[in-house]
Amino acid sequence: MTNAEPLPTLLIIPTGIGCNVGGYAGDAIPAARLLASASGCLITHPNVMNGGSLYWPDNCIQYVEGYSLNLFASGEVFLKPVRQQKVGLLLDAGLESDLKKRHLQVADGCVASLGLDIGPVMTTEKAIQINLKKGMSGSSWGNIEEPDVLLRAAEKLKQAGATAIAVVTRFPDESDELETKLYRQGHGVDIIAGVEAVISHFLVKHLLIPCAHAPGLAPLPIDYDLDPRTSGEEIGYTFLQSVLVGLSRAPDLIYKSEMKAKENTLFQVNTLLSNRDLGAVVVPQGALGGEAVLSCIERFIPLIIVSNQGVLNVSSTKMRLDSLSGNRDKNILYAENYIEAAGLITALRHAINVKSLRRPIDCLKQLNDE
Amino acid sequence: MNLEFIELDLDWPFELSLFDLKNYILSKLFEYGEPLRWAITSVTNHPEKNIQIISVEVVLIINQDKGKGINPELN
Repeated sequence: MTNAEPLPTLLIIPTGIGCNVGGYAGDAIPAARLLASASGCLITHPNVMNGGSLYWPDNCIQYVEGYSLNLFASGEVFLKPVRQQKVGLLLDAGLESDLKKRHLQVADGCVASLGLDIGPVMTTEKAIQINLKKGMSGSSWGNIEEPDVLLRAAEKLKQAGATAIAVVTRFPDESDELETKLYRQGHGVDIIAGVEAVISHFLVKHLLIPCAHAPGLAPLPIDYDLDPRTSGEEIGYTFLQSVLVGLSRAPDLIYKSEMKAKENTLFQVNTLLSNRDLGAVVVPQGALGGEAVLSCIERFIPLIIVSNQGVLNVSSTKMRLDSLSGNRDKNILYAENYIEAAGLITALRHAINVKSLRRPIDCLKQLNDE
Repeated sequence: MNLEFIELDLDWPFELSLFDLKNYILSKLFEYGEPLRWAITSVTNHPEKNIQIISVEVVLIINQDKGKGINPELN
């Protein structure tokens, strides 16, 4: 192995916690591109890559939905990079005809202008009905009233040949006006993001194919104080295009148990990504209590903790990471921002001791002095 | 099946390692349903009791036929 080989890196910016970078409309895409360039292989999730009408395809980025990301981090699932997915489109019966047509036109546009393979299309038998919720922490959450309806339609898409599913559900327009205003002006949590993650988690759990969600919403009146980080959601009629682009190259999800049953396992292992390949995980300070992060900590995968303020304060100190001793604490690195995180990844990738880059630098200690 | 969002507080004894925390939380969550999406959303120190309290927000899958219910006092 040469030092310049990719260092597969997991970038997590949890959905619906209002992170300064990545809490809005794909505003972590530049950070993801930078980390992908530094690592040569970045694995990240739709909250990072979906910018409403804006997106950035990058061959070095693997687009992996949150539920499958958790399975990947725990070693239950391997990722198999693909050239192209056949993305089925699942539409909520709650979408009004004009709004539904807008989404179908986006899908047509992605076939005609981007060369994506989209279809078949399926509408649920009835509206699935979204409930938005906010936790005590300030994080956005929610649930759906008709999960069985959603699942039946998704299963039909999979049976009809879809290898990934983009789902569009009708979101309530009457969600908290103040929350929406604060979010658009860059001071709040994305109130709909949490339940979007719940929907995609639910589908991936049951179907084990890549799935991602776009909300169906009526256009909002213009806001003259709009934060640029939310602009990607203001420049079109739908948020579907970034989801379709992301899913079109999302890796296949292969269960560990499925691997054992298949022939040519050795060949497959060499072409798949597993959690054992991970060279680093990058996560915001304050958001260290997620399932994937805990799995990475269990496996001593180097953790790069980046200052990126959100509503949570589940910090390295509170999670007892600062009090780890011995070799374990050497797997924890801190960065003030994603530029610094990219530097740390570059150092890890090229086997440059991070200690050598910091000042002051201590003399080596002899074991027999202790 | 139903999806339910709940919030609950769990003791995190000082003797329980961070490396065992995920499985500990999952074992507690499975008492209420099948965890679909969850996260620790706060940690508070209680040195007098030699524990920390972790707050977990979670969406659970509740299969009605299995008879699992949620204790609302834990919300």
